[in-house]
Amino acid sequence: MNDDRSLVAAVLAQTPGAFERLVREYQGLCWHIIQRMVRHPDDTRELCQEAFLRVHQCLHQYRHESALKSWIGQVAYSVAKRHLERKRIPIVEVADDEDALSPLDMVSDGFDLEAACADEEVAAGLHAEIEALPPLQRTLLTLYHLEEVPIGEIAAMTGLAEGTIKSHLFRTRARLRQRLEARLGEFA
Amino acid sequence: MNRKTFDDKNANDRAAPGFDDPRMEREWQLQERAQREERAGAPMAADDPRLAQYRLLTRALRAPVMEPIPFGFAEQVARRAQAVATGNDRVERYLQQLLLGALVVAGVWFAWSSSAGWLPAMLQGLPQGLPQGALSWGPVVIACCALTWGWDGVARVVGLDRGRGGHAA
Repeated sequence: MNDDRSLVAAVLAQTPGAFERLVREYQGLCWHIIQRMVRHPDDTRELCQEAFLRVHQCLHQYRHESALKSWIGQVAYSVAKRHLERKRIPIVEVADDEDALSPLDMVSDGFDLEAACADEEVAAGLHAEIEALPPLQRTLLTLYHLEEVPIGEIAAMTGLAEGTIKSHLFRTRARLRQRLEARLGEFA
Repeated sequence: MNRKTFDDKNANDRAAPGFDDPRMEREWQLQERAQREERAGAPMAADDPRLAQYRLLTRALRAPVMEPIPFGFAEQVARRAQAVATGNDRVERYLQQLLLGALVVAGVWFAWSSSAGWLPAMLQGLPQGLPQGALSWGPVVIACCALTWGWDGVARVVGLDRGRGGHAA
């Protein structure tokens, strides 16, 4: 938190190299959020730049009420969300309860994790399933698993309630597991 | 990048609302356990295929197929931000100068258009209040002052004095 304060102060004081340091520190987070939302590489690059330009422009408004990471993540998320809205791409897919519960009923035994990991087709299929998720679900999973952002901070970034995020994570993971199981069944 | 410790993370997850359905709560706990064990690199429990599947999923989520960040991205963004900030600054300065110019022109125009009323009266009363000979050298002094100070002011507003040093780029 103190590092964030000194970094923000340095950027606001226009210390040479300070803003570049800030970008380097948070470019991974921004890039992952935006790429997971929009998926298009050129759009990702353009929007990521736009997000950081906005950070540069509005940093004087940052009051240290949340972590700098959350604030920057929020900017990146809102830039990507607005882009999808302009293109009329839905960011969330609502699943009914039946759909969420049904994966809980199925289970097979004798699963060999190491063998499944070594199977490139299984891994590629799993990545394809993740890619095929709606933008919001994809982004939430990335923030939670790859960036290791706690649910409370994800809520601050996305403006969603913690319960909603938890529900999305739960349903998406359950559904992906079900599809993984079906895929493994095909190869068995 | 600062990573949260497992304890921090668990504390945060406890704060999130639980599921009403016990089956869903159990499944959530299984998903979370898979994530924790995968992060810690814990050995696989052979007797729980469901947990193993979640661990495989977690592994895939932690190693996504994504376009890498372009080389030199931070440097490019910082350069662009600097250029945008400088551009904004320049526009602001031009607008300020334009406004000041308009104000001066409006003032001169107003003084000129209304001079028929106040100028003769002022000129009439002027000789009595001034020392002898002032009417001959007075206008010269005023013109010199106006030229010197006026030019300095104009140069400052237009930005011509930046080459004289004293201002950082």
